[in-house]
Amino acid sequence: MSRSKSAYWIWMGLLGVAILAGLVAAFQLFTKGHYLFNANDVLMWSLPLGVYIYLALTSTGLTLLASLPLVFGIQKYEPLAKRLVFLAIATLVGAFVSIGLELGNVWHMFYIMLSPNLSSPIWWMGFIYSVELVVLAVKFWRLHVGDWHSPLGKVLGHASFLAAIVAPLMIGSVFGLTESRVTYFGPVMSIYCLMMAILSGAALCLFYNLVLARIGGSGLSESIYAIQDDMARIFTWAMGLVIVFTLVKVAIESATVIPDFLNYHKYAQIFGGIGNLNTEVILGLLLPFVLMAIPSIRSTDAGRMLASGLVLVGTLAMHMEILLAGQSRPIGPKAEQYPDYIQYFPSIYEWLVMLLAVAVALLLYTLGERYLKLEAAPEH
Amino acid sequence: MPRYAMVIDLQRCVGCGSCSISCRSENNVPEGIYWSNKITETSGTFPNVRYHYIPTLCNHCDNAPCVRGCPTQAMHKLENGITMHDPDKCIGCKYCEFNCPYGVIYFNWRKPHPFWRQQDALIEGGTSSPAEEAKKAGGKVIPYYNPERAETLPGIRPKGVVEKCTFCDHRVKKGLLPRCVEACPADARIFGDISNPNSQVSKLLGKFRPFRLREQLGTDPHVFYIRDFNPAHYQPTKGGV
Amino acid sequence: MDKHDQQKQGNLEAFLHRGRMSRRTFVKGSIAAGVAVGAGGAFCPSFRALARTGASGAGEMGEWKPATCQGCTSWCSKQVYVIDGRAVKVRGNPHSKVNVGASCPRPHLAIQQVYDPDRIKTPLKRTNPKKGRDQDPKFVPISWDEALNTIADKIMELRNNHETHKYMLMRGRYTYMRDILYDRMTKIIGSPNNISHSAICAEAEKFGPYFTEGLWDYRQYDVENARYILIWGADPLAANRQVSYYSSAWGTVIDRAHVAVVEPRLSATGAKADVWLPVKPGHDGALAAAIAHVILTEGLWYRDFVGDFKDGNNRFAAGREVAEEDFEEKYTHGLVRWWNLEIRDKTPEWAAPRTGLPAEQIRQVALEYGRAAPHAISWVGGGPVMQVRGGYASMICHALNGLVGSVDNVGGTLAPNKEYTSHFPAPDDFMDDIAKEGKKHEKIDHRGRLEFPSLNKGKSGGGVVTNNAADGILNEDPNEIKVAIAYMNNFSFSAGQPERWERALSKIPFVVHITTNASEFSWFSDILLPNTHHLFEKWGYVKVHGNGYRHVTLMQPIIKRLGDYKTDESEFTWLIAEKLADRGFDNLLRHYKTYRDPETGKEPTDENEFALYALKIATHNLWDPAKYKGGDKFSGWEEFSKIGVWNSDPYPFRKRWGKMKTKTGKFEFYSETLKEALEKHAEKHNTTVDHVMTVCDYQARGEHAFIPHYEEPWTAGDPDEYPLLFVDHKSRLNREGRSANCPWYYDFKDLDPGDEAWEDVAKFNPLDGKKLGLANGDPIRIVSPTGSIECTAKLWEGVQPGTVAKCFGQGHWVYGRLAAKVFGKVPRGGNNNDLIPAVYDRLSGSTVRHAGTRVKIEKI
Repeated sequence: MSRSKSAYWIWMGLLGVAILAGLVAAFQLFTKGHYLFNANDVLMWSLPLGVYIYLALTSTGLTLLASLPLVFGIQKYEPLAKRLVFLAIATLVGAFVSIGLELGNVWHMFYIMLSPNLSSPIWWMGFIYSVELVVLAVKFWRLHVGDWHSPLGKVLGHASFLAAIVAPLMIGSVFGLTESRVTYFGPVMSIYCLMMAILSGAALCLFYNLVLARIGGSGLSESIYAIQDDMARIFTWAMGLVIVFTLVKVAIESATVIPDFLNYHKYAQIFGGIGNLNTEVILGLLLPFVLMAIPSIRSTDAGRMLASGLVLVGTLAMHMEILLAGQSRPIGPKAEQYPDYIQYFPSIYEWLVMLLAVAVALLLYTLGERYLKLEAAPEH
Repeated sequence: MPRYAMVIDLQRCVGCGSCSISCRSENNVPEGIYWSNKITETSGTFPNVRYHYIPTLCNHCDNAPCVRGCPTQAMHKLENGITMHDPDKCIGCKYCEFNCPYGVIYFNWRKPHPFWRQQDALIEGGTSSPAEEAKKAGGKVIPYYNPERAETLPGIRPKGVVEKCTFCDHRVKKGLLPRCVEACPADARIFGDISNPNSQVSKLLGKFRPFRLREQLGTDPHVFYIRDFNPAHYQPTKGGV
Repeated sequence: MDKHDQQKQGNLEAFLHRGRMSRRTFVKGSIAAGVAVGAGGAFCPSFRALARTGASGAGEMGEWKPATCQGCTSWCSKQVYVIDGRAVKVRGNPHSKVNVGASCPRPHLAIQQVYDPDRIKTPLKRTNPKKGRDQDPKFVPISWDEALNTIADKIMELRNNHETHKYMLMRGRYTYMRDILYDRMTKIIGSPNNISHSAICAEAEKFGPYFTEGLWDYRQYDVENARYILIWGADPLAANRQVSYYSSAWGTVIDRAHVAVVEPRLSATGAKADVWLPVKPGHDGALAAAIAHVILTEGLWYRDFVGDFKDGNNRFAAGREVAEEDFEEKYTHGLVRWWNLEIRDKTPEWAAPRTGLPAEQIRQVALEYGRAAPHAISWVGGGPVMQVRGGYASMICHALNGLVGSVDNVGGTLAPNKEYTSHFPAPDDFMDDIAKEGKKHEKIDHRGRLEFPSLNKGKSGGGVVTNNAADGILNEDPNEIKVAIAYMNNFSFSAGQPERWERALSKIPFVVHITTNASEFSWFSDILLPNTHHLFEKWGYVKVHGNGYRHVTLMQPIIKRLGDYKTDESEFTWLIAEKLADRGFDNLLRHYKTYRDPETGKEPTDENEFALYALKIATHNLWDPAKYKGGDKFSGWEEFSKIGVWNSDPYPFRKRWGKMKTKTGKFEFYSETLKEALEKHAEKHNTTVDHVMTVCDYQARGEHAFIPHYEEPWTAGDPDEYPLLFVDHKSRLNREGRSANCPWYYDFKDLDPGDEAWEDVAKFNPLDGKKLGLANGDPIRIVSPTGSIECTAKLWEGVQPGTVAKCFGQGHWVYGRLAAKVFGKVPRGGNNNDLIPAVYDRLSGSTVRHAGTRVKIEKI
């Protein structure tokens, strides 16, 4: 086992370096300011915010998947439950790291409690995700001490499920409630976020278990292996759902003559594309869907890993595309001092923030796997 | 309780920018941030060209999206209708800036006034460094620091929070006009209580058909524009087929 | 702790109440305001009144102190808000009837100027003996004592060698304390070489008004009573003159008057005009001639001023000669002769191809202008006149005022009102023989030579030819210059072909520059002396007219000086006088000691008293009730200095009709005044007027030389090699080129229509842009026959095809950390003067700025 042991320490070492680099960047951000990002007063929400959305939604997706056994009582998926809950917590912590380093003044966060604004979608988003984190933590503790079916456990499970439905809708409504930006306004973003949550959650679940199988040496347990097919099917359906929604969205946006959409469309291909379809949609959504639609590929581990890996990267890219495209043109008087279209590429500090968030999540995954018996399942 | 509003007479406005520049000195606004700004447009093709100028500032909307969206109520409405900001509660999420349909909110990405924090002198022994100059003058960070701004808002906002026009609430509460109104050489900005039918703003809004920016969004802005920047005369004609 | 910290403590309270002001505190505030001003009905008018009183309102921490702005030559009266000796903000002085409490955007930048860290704080001495663009002077700080001693020694050296004519004083931005340094000191030392900057300003503007109505001065315009305003190359809403007043009035003006702007590019004023006439640069005279033609042929001239045909029948018709005896003139002279010589064939059709404007539009403008008589202003700015043959453009554009009777009339063009400031004591008793001898030499700028008539007020050599002084120095013609003192100028930046000045200054062995910042001129100087800032730090005054009044406005030391600054015209002169007296030459000091305080009769004992007493002497008739002559009345110096400005009596309309300072006393369409001046100049050089015209490169011959007429422009550069005509224009943020180190200058640079923030753009019409393959933001090089600059391209419809329009002001390579890209090495943007050749309108001595050169564009 020495090979896996040294691999473990190399892995921890890498994470340590990543976290250290991230902390150095964080220190610079706190002392010097967020001009170290390549964001500005026109394009103000950039990679760190995109990463937050991505990780938060992924966490939500994992929670929703965890609800299948914990709320809907599907016993077949119970072996996944504890792991999923922990992954959800860890991913959400990563999300909070990212947003914490994006906020101008995170020390004032306690005013969210002391001076709440119930008409603010950001308040609701923050509130519900915070509640979610607490509920998940308590739920995990209950699972960890073997409490699977007590009334408290049920309440926690239901609460976290509800939160997991509402939270991504709230993230969407942050964009959905901006009358100023026609391309975001309306219910579309909320629904989209919920579906993307399910998608990236399913992708991560699939991908994670496959990776675990690889490094576990002895492979995944029988029970989990049996579930993988179902997870793969859920994953495929989630992709299908998002594809349908995306195609409808693209069609409507292409057909309208509202200037903001024409502009949006013109500039909404940051990663390039073919016709009206963006690269990240093709590679990160359509391609994996095709892969998973072909039974011979869907049934293989390699195929599943490739598809879910593509989706993991693709969903982040899709979030970033939408985030950036809607901010690329200056509004009103800001057009006087800014160019017509803002070119953006993340600065090294933004990459480091993303690295830190992901590394923290990965560190928690690793420690969790090692010490918290995430395979535990109830006796039947 | 008064409800403050501003009427901007575009015919009187000459596009000089005194409003925007004097605001900088009144409110200690850092470089790159424009509490008072403009929208200009050059229309037509030579030689039939026109240049238009619309002064802009925070509209102090009644249905302010920035206030609605601020998670900590750092952005809030005062009773007199001014949309005010409290940097102590601001978490710097920039949602107000994201949400504002008028592009009037800016974020302090760095410690403000970096020009005045520089420590180098160009000619050794002969000239000063900006930081030294500010200190010698006795101003806070900047030599021309206006301490009166600090009566209701940090005189210089710290990094990590947003800032925007406050209708010079610190002056208004002392019975003084906002600085841009006072500084405008053309008397193109008229300020007052729109809830008082005898105020100048109310009278002007009755006399001319005003327009507001992006009215269709329902924000109910309280900066009104009347007349035209260039009411040019032309020879009457019926055109032709 | 400041109020905000107190606020922080109450924050818990505050956010529970959602940060609102309590009703009580707000109402209290408003009641205070109401009481302070007196009831008046509506709440809002009280705001206005409070703002206008000039007194500090309730709860204001500082004090509004009177001041004067010299950001341009509008010379507005201002007030500065001072807190503990520190300037915080600026506004217009409500007591002035000229700028009526209004303030253009420029003075706000003065706050960044006065606290500019790159200001020189102490005298500096050059330690690198080599002078050159790439030579760092290696300035070291020295004491005022050392500086003054060195300067005094140099002056004494000249005196002892009877070479005082080799002393030169260069004057840039002045106040009317200027004669102390510019005139008295130069004369008492004994040199003819006091060289002012006037010729690079707008002297040619004054040429037309002088030789028609006897007024060698800038005009003011009664715009609020005008019905038509025709503006030639002036931009009153952005640049000179009386920008504050015109900005305040324009909204009302355009209700009543039609405005037409003749300008190659769309200016700020053009944006608020009825008609923009993008004339081909240099051909304004053709347009003016055609307008005159239409006015006369259509019978639109103003009979009460000009007169009429004896039988009332209009004989003016295209091409037809008219008999002079058929017309009886009233207050004008030479109308028919002018028609016969020049105007009769200048139809709109003739003018159209030359001006680039459609004939129908020219006719329409002329008709509307004429029909508005006598309330029709022809406003001559620097544009058409600061050109090689600009003097005559000045005459013919201004002559239109004569035709419509708007001269000295309601709604017309007016002269300055009478004011009663006094001269300083004369220097004659203090000029010894050395001085008298020295003064006899010819001036270094060659004014009055055959090729430089410079006919200021009709006198040969009466006006300076500033830019030519560089050539005089370089050629040691008439003699070398050994000691030069210059103040608040920057000729190696602000005049055409400035590299000649770099060489000239390198040649002068000892140059002193009194300046606020180390500029291009300073870089070639030997001693730098830190100057005060006019708006905040010194005693002085200026006078200017506008809105039918003239005001005399005071400069006062109202803030704490942060450096060891001393005022150029008064404090420095006293200190030098003391040093000269130490060395046995006490004439200057004895002269200055005669400047006694009018209130106490005391002799000045130091430089500060001297400055103050001199000011009191100059303004004595204004503040002393015993000496009252007119205008505002004050109880004494104290009240006057508190208010800060004196206003004249209202304008006496039509008082000059028939009593003009011309040879005939009338408005001269055939200028006997100019004829006399030219003949005298020709006689002085034993030649004919025609020969003078040839040497000075004018097209006029014979009697044409004495009338307002169209001359084809002279422009450097072969059109094949240099396809575009260079159009220089001004900025509403230029404080005479000294605001280039202010961050706000760049943040707001796009207030100039077509310009961009933080850029120095050359603007092209999109058609030219396409031809040249240019896109917005492209770095380019502009090349003329005499130089080249680098800047950024911008495509804009407000530019005439065939021209490239660029704002003046950037292109400094020293001056400060923002003004230069790399201080001492790399310029930020490009200096227009590097492109413009050193040519002149020789009849007025003016330096050429407009239609001076063609250019070509290279992409970098």
